Amino acid sequence: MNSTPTRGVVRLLSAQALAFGVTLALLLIPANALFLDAYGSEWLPATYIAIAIVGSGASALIARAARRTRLARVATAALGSLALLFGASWVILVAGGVWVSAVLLVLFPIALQIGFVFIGGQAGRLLDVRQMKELFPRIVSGFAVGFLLGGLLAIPLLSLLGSTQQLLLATTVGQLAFLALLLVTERRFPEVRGAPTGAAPPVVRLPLRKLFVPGLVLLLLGYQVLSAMGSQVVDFLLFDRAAAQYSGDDLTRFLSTYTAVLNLVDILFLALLAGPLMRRFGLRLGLTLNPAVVASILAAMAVVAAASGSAAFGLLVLAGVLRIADIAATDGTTRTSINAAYQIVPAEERLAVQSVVEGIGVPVAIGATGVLLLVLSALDLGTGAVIAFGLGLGVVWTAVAVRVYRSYTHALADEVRRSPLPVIDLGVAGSADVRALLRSEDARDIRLGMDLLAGVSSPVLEVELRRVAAHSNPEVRVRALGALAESGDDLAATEATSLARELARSDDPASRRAAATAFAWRDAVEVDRALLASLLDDPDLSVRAAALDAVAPDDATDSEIVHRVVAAIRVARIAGRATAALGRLGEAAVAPLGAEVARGDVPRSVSLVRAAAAMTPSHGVWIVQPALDDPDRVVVLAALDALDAAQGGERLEPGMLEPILLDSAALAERAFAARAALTDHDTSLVRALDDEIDLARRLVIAVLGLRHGDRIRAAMRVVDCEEGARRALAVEALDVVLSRREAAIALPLVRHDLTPEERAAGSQQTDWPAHQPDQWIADIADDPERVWRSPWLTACALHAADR
Amino acid sequence: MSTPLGTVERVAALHRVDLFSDVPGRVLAAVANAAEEVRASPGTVLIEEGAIEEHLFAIVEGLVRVHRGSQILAELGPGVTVGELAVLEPEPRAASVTVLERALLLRVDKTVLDDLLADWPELAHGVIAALVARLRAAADHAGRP
Repeated sequence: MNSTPTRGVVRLLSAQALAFGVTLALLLIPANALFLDAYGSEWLPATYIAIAIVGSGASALIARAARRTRLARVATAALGSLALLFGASWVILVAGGVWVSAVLLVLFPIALQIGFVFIGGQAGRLLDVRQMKELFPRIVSGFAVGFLLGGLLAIPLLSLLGSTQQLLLATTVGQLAFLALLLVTERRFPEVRGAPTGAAPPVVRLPLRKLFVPGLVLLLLGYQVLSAMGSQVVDFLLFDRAAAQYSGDDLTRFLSTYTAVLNLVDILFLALLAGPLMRRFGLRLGLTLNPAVVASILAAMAVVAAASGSAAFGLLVLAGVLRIADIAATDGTTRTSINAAYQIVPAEERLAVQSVVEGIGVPVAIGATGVLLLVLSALDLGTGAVIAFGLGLGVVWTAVAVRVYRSYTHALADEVRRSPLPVIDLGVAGSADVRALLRSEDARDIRLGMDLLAGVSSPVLEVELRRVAAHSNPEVRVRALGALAESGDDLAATEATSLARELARSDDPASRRAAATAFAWRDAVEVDRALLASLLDDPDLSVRAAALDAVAPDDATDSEIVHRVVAAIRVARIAGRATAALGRLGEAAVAPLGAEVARGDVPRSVSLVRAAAAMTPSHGVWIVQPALDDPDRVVVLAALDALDAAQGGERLEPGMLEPILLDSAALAERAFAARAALTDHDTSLVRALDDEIDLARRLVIAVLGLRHGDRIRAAMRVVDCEEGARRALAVEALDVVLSRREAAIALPLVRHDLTPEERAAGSQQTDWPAHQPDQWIADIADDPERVWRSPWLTACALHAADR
Repeated sequence: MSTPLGTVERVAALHRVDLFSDVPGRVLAAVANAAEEVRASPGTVLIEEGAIEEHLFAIVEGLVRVHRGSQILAELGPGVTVGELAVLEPEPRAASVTVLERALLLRVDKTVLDDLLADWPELAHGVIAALVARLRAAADHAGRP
């Protein structure tokens, strides 16, 4: 989504949040005033329990509806029903039915949760995870402004309308405005309606309980339950301490002033701090800030209560600070983080899960807190017990937050890694097809037929093989004899051995290749190791390749064979087969291979390094270590990639990769700076610099892949190749898995969407020795600091200098 | 007599060819060094239909015609390769290639590519991409999706 629609989305969602805030303020003020006037505060915990029962039912209803119909329709029905309820309550109150104030108090937290489910649900469909992190606090700030505005409007409205009961009329109007804005959003951004059913693949509808099988969703449920319980305890402590310090009009004045300060701090936090904090520290902070702050302040309250008693004024101050901190953190970081974390849940199930977690889990938590407060009150344990309970809750909540974050990072990486590639069943060739191949005139078809015969035996095919064993092509003949020998034909085995030895001495490369192929059948053909060694020296590469395939573990005792296999590693076209042969030779090949890698007099070839890396898991990292220190970065990259492929990264010590990461980062920074200065200069040099940047990028990815596993490579690939929400999810995955320093190095390299200015802003170094194009060319050509270390780049620089 | 191309110019020329466009210069330098520079005047037959050869031509300058007898199949200019299938699997040439306008070409042999393909996945990627493009073009030509 480009910036203009994003701005439109934020404006409309902020407007919804504003209307929502005004509505809830105009619901809370008359509901509280009327209830406390009529029934007193001792019955407040009873409303918490009612909230649990009614809230759970309402949310289950919405979750079920959300799974069956589109978001906007569910939201319209729910918000419309609430508007009707507010209107009906106004009529009942005007008629004298003050009992409805209890209903309104119960409705308040339910409406609060439901409203945020719908605003969060729309944001989740219209913004990607990174936009959510940055922009959702701004949307939520609309609610805080609305709530403040509603509170400020209450007094003039009271004068205008004449009585507290009449405020419910304004509440109803506010609710209708919220609904109207939601419908405008739906009309302007049809994506909120969800995936079009005609084009989308059928979605498997899981039973609701199965939605909670993933650990992350369960942890999110636990987190939000603890959050709701914590906030309820915080609320209770403030009102309890305020009631202990003030009464009558003083209490009203205190609560009015406090509410104004609370909302102001909340708005300032949302506007100025929440976004930058979330961008800088991400979900790690977003999830843990709230519980950690609550636990810390409760710990301070416990100390004050223990030292000065629960009547101390300092306790009221701390309770006030606690509630402000809790609400600001909830609005600014917690809610945003929870909504961002829900992006992992598939879009079609997200609203259903979120509705249940926020709509059932939270009300139940509030009800449980109500029960607990009633019990504590009945036991007459005092405020200290509530503080101690809150402190315990805060500690558990913090621990769960850490677990949620860890689970989120894993789930995020898994989501990015998930491949949409279909599994293809190649099938097995039928015996009729194999027979047709064996009867072909073309020797290549016959070879293919015999390859397909591996592991298959039948009397019909055996007859075909006996016929092929008389073929004019010696390679075909020896392979057919070998196949027969492997199936237990002793005569064929003798013939195959004799024919293979004869062919090995032939002048014809095809015959020697056939002999080498036959030496691979150790159970059927008796191998002459001197002949095999000579085939490993053959001038024809196809013969050497076949001879390498014939090398078996038994040959490890023959040093001539071992050394020839090691030597073959340097020949690119047969290096792969030589590597496989080394693997079969096992321990005997390790020392010669290690010595070959350690040689400083000959450049290390990529294939040699790959072979060494392949031996690392079983024989130690020392074999490939010299290659990791090679001045040629291409060799280093080959070593890293091969280590990764061989799963040899576990053998590396933590510090081994650090110099490579730093060197790659230094190369990339310098190459970016040179590239920017030489943009309109020599195209070959610019292209060579681009190649160096790409090399640095691949080195960084390789290092991080070895440190953090496959998920990093997958995420980098998605960042590199994909767009939109999936790309944002991958950037987020990198953000949360990598350390800050690693992310600072890696992200500018893999993100192609960054402008040169954005890259320059992230650069660690700005005082380059060269500034002008000519200076850069000289720097690359001379390479005085040995940063470039690329003969090709030097050649391009010299070429550019000549021009 | 024209001055022979230097390695940097050869690599720059190969980079303009689709087959090699994604291959880093440091890798392509080996191909460029091993390539033979061919300067041909109009009428020169570069590839004879039916011949079994193991090299491709990268057109640096000029224009060539691909034809079967008198039937013209295509006219190709700079940035294109001809005969690339022969360096992967030598088979009789499917068509002839004749120079139309004075041309500068780089001839790359199968053995050079074979050695490099084993070590450099970037090159293999370029070859695969070129083959896929060729298959798509053939499928489009046959009117299939």
